[in-house]
Amino acid sequence: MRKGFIFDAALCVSCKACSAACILENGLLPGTRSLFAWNGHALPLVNVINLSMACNHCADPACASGCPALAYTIGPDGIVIHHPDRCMGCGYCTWRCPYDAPKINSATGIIEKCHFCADRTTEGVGPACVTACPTGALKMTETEDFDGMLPAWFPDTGIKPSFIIRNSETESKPHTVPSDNETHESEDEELYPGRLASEDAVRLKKDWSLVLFSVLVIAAAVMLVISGLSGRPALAGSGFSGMLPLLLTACAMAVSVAHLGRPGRSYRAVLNVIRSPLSREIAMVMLLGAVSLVSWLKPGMIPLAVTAAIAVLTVIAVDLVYFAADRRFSLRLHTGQAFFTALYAVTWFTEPRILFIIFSMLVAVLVVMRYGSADRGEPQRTLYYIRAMSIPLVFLLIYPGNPLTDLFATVLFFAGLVADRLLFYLDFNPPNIKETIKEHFNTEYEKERDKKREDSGLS
Amino acid sequence: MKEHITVCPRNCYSTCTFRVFTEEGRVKRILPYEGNLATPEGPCIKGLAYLEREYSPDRIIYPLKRQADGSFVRIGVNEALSIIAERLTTARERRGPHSVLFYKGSGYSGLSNDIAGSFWKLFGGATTTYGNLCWPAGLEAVRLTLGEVKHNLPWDIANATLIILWGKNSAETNVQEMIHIEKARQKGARVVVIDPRRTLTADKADLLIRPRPGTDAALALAMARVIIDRGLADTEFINRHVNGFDEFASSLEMTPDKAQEITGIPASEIIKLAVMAAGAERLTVIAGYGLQRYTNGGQTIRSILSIPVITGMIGKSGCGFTFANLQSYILDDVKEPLSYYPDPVSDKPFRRAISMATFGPDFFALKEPAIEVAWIERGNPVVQLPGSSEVRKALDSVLFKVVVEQFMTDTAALADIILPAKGIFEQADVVGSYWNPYAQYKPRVADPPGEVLPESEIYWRLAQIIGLDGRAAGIPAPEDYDAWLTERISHTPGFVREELMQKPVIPDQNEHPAYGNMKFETPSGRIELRSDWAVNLWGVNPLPTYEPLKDFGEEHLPLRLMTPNIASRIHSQFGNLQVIRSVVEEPAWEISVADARSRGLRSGDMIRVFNSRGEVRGKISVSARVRSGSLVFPNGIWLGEGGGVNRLIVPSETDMGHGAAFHNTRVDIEKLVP
Repeated sequence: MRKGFIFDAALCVSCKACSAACILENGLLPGTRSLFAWNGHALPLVNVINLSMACNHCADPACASGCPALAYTIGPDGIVIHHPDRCMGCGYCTWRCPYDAPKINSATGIIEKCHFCADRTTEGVGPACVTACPTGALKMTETEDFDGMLPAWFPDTGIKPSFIIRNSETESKPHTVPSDNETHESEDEELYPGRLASEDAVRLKKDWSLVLFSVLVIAAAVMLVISGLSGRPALAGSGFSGMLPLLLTACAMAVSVAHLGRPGRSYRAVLNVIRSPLSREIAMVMLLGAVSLVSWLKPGMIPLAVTAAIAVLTVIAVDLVYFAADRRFSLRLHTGQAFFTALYAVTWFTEPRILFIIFSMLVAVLVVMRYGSADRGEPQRTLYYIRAMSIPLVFLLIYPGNPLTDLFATVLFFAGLVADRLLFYLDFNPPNIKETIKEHFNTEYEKERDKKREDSGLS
Repeated sequence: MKEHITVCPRNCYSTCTFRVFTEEGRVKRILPYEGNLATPEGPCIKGLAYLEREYSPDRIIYPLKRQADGSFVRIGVNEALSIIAERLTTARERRGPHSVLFYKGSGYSGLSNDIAGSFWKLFGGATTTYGNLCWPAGLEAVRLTLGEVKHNLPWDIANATLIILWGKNSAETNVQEMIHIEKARQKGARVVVIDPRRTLTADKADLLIRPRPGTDAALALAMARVIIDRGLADTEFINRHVNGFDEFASSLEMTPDKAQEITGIPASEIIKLAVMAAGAERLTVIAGYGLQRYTNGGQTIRSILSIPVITGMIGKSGCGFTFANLQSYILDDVKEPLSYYPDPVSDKPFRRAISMATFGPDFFALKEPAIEVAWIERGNPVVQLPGSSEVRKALDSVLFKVVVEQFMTDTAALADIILPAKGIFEQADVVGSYWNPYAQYKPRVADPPGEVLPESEIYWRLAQIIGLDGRAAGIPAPEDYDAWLTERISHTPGFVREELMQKPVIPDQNEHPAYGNMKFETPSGRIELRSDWAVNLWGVNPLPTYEPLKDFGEEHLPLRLMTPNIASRIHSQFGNLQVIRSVVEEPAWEISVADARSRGLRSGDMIRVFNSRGEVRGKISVSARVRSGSLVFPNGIWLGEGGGVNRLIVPSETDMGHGAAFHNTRVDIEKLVP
């Protein structure tokens, strides 16, 4: 039998007792159980939707499978437990969970999550949020099968949440009299029933070290691939350049350890190579470092093809970390992904030139396509300009050998790659079900509004 | 952990029973008590917050004394009580006992509160307040009409086929009522909310009627007229039980068209609503308290009450008028609402009284003796009384002030001595409720922290220091308190004492359905649509009428200010707690879309709200929950949190019952340029 929550939307009045109870019982971060209210300002065309949600203790939990440190376990009753003493604070589960259940506590550096009030459950007392609910809207249940217990508007995430929602028919809204003294529509963002959170700039600020990490890894990999293809170090000659891939990999590892909430537990990063893309990525980067070390100390000992293959697999491992969290197809077409960036960089260094030109054309098409559909906040716009500027640089190659245009082209090219990598981070948007639900209802609202407009246009 | 059944003693409909679990004299856990059928699920967010409230680092647990520089310093209990005793006796000797003001709010309910009255009588009297900020206009309106103030068991709503929530926002102020409403809905009942605001309760309704604030009587009377004109009234019921029907019927000049002008509700919709109400098999009308905090509040409730009366919906299951149920107050000496009225006979030698609703003006109008010492307990008048700037000025003018409090409220901050108030788990008591039908015993389950003394002990020791015989006056010695309480509940019939001390009990005298025996304690013994008491006591029309609101010379101000209660507070209590703050959004001034547009305001803009009494500043939030023409800001928010909205409220009484007409207030707003 699996334990799970049942939520009755008809009984929920958005009082937030469940959130408060969670804080009081567990001292967890506010928002560990949160109340989601769509159309909180009650625009009359659509109903108000309340939803109280914490961890859904999924049968196929994305947090647990993705955790590189094996900090999650699953109890016999299906409860997904996070163990603080095993957590290194990488935050990967916050990307993986579509329900926004794990939260990183900046004070302790580690994750906090609903554990179904494990201590109370062993005492035979329900979770604090459940016993707190004054209307009985939130209950717990035990059942074998939670399939098909969610309304159509609750997106299927494929990870089998142990969650049941009842009485959430969205069309039952009060008939309001008089109806004409309030607005039916609003273009104003402030009144829009569900505003979508835009935290891009914040995210980039917080995760800049991850961008740096991947740029360093890609650079190291590119150098090793080039040396593999050409049979000599990427940068001609000196001992320093032979050591460069090793240096880059070491820096990348340092940056990645520093970014952890608990750097002291960084050794745990590779405990879950079987299931966690993040563990695999770290393992591959370590392997890349080892190969770089050997190549520097004993050039030629490892066959160049093997070196190149490890480099390629490493950048693919980097990409898989992101693809496993954000499964949208558009991200797979992104020119800022590690594999594509590395490949493109390789064409810059290698002959024939036509490869580079073909890649540049491809990039131009993909970037323009993306620009058309992207939402353009402040950081995006600037990055797009930088990216776009680097695209026509093929023309600078008409007269190769001119030191000035060569230098300019090189700088421009790499700035474009970095900008693209940053854009990849901004476009990378691990699913958050609350945003998906908002989008769904916003579409419904727009439909209603347009219908209303049409009606009034006819009359 | 040890388990106890206890009750929340706040000024709230629900008066939830809940179980607490203690360890080493400290409450560790709160769980629902399923045995109370009115509140079988969890307590509300505030009830849960006791886990923080009672143990908050901000709680005042030692007596504090104000120093010359305005800051407070901890002093011993004996020192504090000696200073207070000295100031009290000096004031009494110099200017008589009426130079002492005893002010109590509604912050804690229980029989132990009576001990304060015993002390002040023993002291020789005091200046006190009469009236009540909350509900007396409606209480009196119900008493005038039905003789007593009671209603069916809360869970009986589930048997209604039509529920009209008239100005009641149960979702925020009586959250467990939503359980019973939802049960009725599941059985097919329709739910109508009548409220200018689209409240969280209205989110659950089938129909929301949004009249202009203060015009509910016009709507109700127009409905009554439609019902009577169309022959939908219950003639048999009326003939048997109702006095003054013919006069009422012929007085009804309020046509739906006229009501449309006044309320803003289309006449056709008024007719539909009236026909729906009259056609309902079992109609329950639930009236809130906000709609009677107007200068026409009592008449409004009488008008609304006429609907279930003329449709014969009184005295049956699933039917009735739910305003307040005083049936659990079996142990009170003076029954509400009579306890709110200045009593010219029994109180006179002891008591000089000023109106709570008009405290500021009344205070400054006091003749000799002026107030020299003020004692304030269970309340936060600096934030909660209407016209609170003047209230603050009044208290500022008092030379010596004692405040009994748990937290540094705006009122406590004015004190010369702060005595720490007991927490809810720290003294046994018996608590009644105005919605929950159970009489409830609240055991002592936790040790008071620091040097907290329950008020009973404060008064006992004070009497000793002053040299008064507390015991003879009915003030129990600390060791006798439990015996005092047991004695207090030993002579009232209707329940077994031992049972009450174990769990909530519905006293035998609880009548369900209310008025089921069709006896009404009115002068005529029948339901009185026409009431002579109304004329004699309050000088209002003998019949229910619509009286336009008084605007006190501020007709020109465009917005009607509504200051409702919200789910996260009981008036000014609970909002200071971390847990509440971490889950509840900061309060903002809510304005309608239309009013925001016409003023070029957007959510987040800073505004100045003003009228002739002053101004308050804050953030605006544009919302379709607000009706155009009104501005909404919750009451009870402390000055330091950007609250103090009562500074704008005109101090005025309701038409009956000495209530406070909070919502008559008009204001204007102005955008502040950043």
